[in-house]
Amino acid sequence: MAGMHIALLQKRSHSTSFAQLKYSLIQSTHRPMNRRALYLPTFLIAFGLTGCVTPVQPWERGILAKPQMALTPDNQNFALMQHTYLSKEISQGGYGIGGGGCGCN
Amino acid sequence: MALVEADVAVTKRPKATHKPGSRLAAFTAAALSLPGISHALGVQDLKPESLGLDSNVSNYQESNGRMSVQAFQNDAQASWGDGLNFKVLSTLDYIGGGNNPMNQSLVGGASPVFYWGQGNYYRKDPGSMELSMATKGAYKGKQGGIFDQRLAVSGQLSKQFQDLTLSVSGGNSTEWDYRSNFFNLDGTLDLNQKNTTVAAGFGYASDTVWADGGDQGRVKEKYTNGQTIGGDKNVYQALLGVTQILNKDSLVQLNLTVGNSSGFLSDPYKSSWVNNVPINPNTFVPTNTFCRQSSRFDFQSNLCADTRPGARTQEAMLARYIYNFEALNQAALHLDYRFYSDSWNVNSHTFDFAWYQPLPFDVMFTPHARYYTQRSAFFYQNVYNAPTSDGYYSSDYRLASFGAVSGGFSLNKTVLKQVNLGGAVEWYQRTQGMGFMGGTGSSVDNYSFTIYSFNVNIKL
Repeated sequence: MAGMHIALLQKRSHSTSFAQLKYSLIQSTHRPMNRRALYLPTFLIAFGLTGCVTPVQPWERGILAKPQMALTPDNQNFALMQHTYLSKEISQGGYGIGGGGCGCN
Repeated sequence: MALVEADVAVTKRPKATHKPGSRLAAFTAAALSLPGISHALGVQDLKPESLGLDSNVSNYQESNGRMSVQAFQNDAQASWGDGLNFKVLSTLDYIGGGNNPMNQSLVGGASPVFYWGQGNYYRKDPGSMELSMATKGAYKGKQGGIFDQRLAVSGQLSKQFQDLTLSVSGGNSTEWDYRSNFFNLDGTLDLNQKNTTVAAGFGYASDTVWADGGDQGRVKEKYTNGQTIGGDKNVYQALLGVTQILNKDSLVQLNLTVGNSSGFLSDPYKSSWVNNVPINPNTFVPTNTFCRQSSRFDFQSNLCADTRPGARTQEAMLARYIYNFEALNQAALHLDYRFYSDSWNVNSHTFDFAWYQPLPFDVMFTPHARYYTQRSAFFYQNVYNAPTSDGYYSSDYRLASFGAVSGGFSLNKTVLKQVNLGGAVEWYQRTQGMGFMGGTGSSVDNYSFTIYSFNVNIKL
């Protein structure tokens, strides 16, 4: 699957038009590229820090198992609001991935 | 295929000391442990261990009757004892104008919006905004507006293998002017005595968009050059996340998502006003030869169809923190922060706050507040003073600089431990002056919306 993904990206890159090239030049003048490079190191540091936390034993997780402690306690309303925000704001991502159409009139 | 490979693996072991009977039993057990196999063979009872049904109906109302949406969500999920889980999700949207989106005589004008520029024939103030085809007199409120329906259906199958959970999902969403087919692969791995969970995911969506020209989208609008407005879009997404239990009262999550979109990324309905259109030296008439035009207006020389770059990369980093206040009847605080950036030079910050307060009689009260701010895309302008050198035009308010505050609450009550009844309301105000990310925007784009919803959740 990863190989196919890379192949598709390469196929697109071969068909790069002059307009796209021009766009990439414009993009480089507008975009702080160094910010993107910070994402993965931040994630790796965060992952590394997980080893510093004292494990919580199973019998201590009564509160963590409560519905209000779930990352998303109300899935349907959450999906509704995320779709609404997506149709009115340009930002997307973070909470998860996946399609679902536009509905963004 | 898995069944065949297992068979080959067994037959390639001539020196195995197991008796044929036990080997066959082991093989049968291994085959039956594969997801779906046991059920397909009818060996095991098909009845799930648990069943969940969730329904939600919501009503979205935008200020000044710009747009309204009635949405119906119906989901079902079933779980079996061997860690197998299946979900079906569906959403049906009715999108229109006025207060009742089911009424086709009132169309919404939020999408085909544009700004008037200098020297317009209708003597509108430059910079003022117009919704849809309300300028066309006899067609006022009828043509050029939006009435649409969306049906999205998806399914997800997941299987837990001790600390590893794998899931595959896919679906389709169809509107009168948009079609999307998508699938996702996700996996989570529990580490550190289930105190740490690492998540990874990959998603692909193949979309097609066009401008609805009538007959529920079967007629497609065209540019003035005869080309059909719209095109295909491919979206790849990936996710990497880690969730960590900090102590018996709190946990934190950090997610990183990246996306790559290519193809037709423009809005097929929108146009931008361009001033200082070149004069044809022969006819002495303003002549537009510098952009694609929309056929929806009769003053075409000043209008360019919404034209955006054909590629975009997006990144988002989300941090979530949840803390339980045991002394306050185990209320939970949820704090989210997201930073987003993309290759169109849009950066945004999102701050989200929610408080889940358990109350007597199995009632949960949840107030919620959110703040969002974004920088405008590099090619966005309300009105273009002249044709652009790169050929990009968009006056879509979603690409502008702005800030938005929203807040609301939900109230849920559990009945007989298996049924949950609830309702929620959220109010949203979008204001150009509330943003702090800089860029271009206009206060005429300001609007608000209110969304009400009611839900029923049943667990069997």
